[in-house]
Amino acid sequence: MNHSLPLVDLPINTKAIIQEVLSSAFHLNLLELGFNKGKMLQIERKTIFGDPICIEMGSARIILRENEARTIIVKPCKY
Amino acid sequence: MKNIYIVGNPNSGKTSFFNAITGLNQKTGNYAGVTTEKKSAFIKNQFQIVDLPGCYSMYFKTLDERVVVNELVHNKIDLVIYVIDAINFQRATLMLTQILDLNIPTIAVVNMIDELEHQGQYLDLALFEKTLKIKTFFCNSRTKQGIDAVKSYITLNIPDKSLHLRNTPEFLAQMNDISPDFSYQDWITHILTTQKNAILDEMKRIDLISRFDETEYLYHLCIKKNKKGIIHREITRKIDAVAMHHFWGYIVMFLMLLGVFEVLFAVAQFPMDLLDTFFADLSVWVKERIEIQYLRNFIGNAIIPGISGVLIFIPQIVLLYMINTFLDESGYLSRMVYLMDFLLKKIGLSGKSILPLMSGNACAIPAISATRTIPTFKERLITLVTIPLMTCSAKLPVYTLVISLIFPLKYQSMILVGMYGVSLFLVVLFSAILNRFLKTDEQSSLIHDIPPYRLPTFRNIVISIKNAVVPFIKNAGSIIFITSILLWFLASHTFEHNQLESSEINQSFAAQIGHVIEPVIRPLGFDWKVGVGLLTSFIAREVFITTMVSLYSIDSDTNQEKIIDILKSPLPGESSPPIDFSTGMSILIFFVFSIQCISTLAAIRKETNSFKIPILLFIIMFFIAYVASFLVYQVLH
Repeated sequence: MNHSLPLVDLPINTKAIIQEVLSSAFHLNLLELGFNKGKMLQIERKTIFGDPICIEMGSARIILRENEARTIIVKPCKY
Repeated sequence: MKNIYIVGNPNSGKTSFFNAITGLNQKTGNYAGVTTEKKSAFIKNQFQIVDLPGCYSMYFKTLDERVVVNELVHNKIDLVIYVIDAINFQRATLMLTQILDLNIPTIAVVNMIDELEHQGQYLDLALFEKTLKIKTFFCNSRTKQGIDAVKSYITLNIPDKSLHLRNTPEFLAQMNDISPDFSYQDWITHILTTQKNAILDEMKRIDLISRFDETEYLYHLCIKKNKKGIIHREITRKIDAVAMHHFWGYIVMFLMLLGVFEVLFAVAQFPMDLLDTFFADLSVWVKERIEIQYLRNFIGNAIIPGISGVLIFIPQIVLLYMINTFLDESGYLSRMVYLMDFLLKKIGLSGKSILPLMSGNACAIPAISATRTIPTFKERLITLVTIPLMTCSAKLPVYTLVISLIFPLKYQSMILVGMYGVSLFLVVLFSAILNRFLKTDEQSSLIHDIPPYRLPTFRNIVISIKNAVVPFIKNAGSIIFITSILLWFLASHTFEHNQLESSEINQSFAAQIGHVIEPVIRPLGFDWKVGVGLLTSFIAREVFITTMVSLYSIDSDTNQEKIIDILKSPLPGESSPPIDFSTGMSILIFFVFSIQCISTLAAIRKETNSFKIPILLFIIMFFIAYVASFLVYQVLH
């Protein structure tokens, strides 16, 4: 499981590294909150509806909708 | 006068810092031309300190952020105090580098350093100062540690001569057709004056990515590990395991809101009863001691009800703002955004609509301003027009009074909770309908920070209550007081006689006005007195009660002085009390729907920058209110 995938498909509690943030209407918002190439993150939890999702990145916790999470391409870590 | 601006990310503890440095001597107002609340304070007549809204970068997306950028670029600023939340150090330094590039004199304040330490890290302050060449302080707004150091620094060191000029960022220098002296300031001004477009967005992106490298470097340079355990994070984790749980989270939220309402009614009732009894006794006491009839009536029926009409609302306002501040500052509101976003999205709202809708329970006007944090126009508009349906602190006393008139005591609080349920249901219904009809090309998004749980400080709660109560007494209070006197005059005078006997109220000015509208409202079960009440409640909803009391107390011969007792006892010559069950229900329903508040309409006009929306909204809601009340009355009667 070492190929890139959109953040939305990443299993919960799996560490991954951001490969790319695709351009979108909310690209700048994501950048401002620290979503950028090379950052490590994981999905902490999802609501019962599967959306929004709660991301843990460094000491920050941020909620995103599936839509936004689709534009973040990540690669799961081996460890 | 020196201008000092406090800037920082949302949830960075910016406002706590502002409260700690200024204390109670704050003023609230608005920024020129917009309804964004401006909080400022003067220190020793030397400085004006302004608390700008929270912002992540100079590339604004919401209207509040635009205000921040506009102020930073266009105002004469002597100093920016940039507040950094230590646990979000990298994110916070992004906007700091932008402000430094604007060449505004800046000092930094690092807040919540204890939380960073609890995460097993610390900040090398000296290295940070040396790298960015700005004076930096550690502060703890809770314990006020470091606040005095900042205060004495700003008194001694402004204007700061040590400003280190930064070069124009590379991405601007590399632009071909731009003059060499095009500064970062010019660039931001350009963004403020130009329509959003793809080229600008691409340049903003390049800028942010290069700044990201700078903040990443700063982070690895200045944030170091120590060997302490991870304490604070664990607590937040443990609470969230329940509070954000996909099942228990909703249960907790439901119980929490239920508890909030219980507190609101059970606790507020006590001081309200006390005030009511006090003013009733005062009125009797005064009436017994004044010989001159005219003066006795004026003081007993105009002045005292006027004052009590203002004061009686204060307990509920205080509690409402206390609860709102608590939910917001503790961080729980962000969890509500998370839990509710999916459902709200379905009806055209955003998770971010939670805060405006919740504060709509206090007052629609600040709530309408709070919609500015919602980035898309459609979601913002739907939130904005549904806010007046919420049970604001002015509707609440009307509900409380009418319910206590027509329901037995043991059902009263249940019915009141039911009223909240009804308004919530209507918000959902109206949003869903509007969502159907409004079309948009805008991409809706939710990107929201989840801060760690923090215990709100007593100071912050007191200041937010003070900032709500003082304007209430000044604005709404004076209107209520004046209306009360005016109504007394209208109800006890007529063309022929200077002063009427109490039994002749039916010939007064007020009655003449009331009789004109009576045919229209008769089918709703309202007599002319309720009609005058509806007219005056347009100034502010709670004036309805003041009106009812003035009109009925002049009319009744009884010795009853408590509001409830006056309205419960039948008028002379009649068998049933003035407000019976069917009329009471009709009044309740009318108040649920109609936008009986001119300030709310003014706020909507300002926020939407359109006359059409508030006028249309008023007419539609009035029509719905009329029809609903008509049906309720005709069925029950």
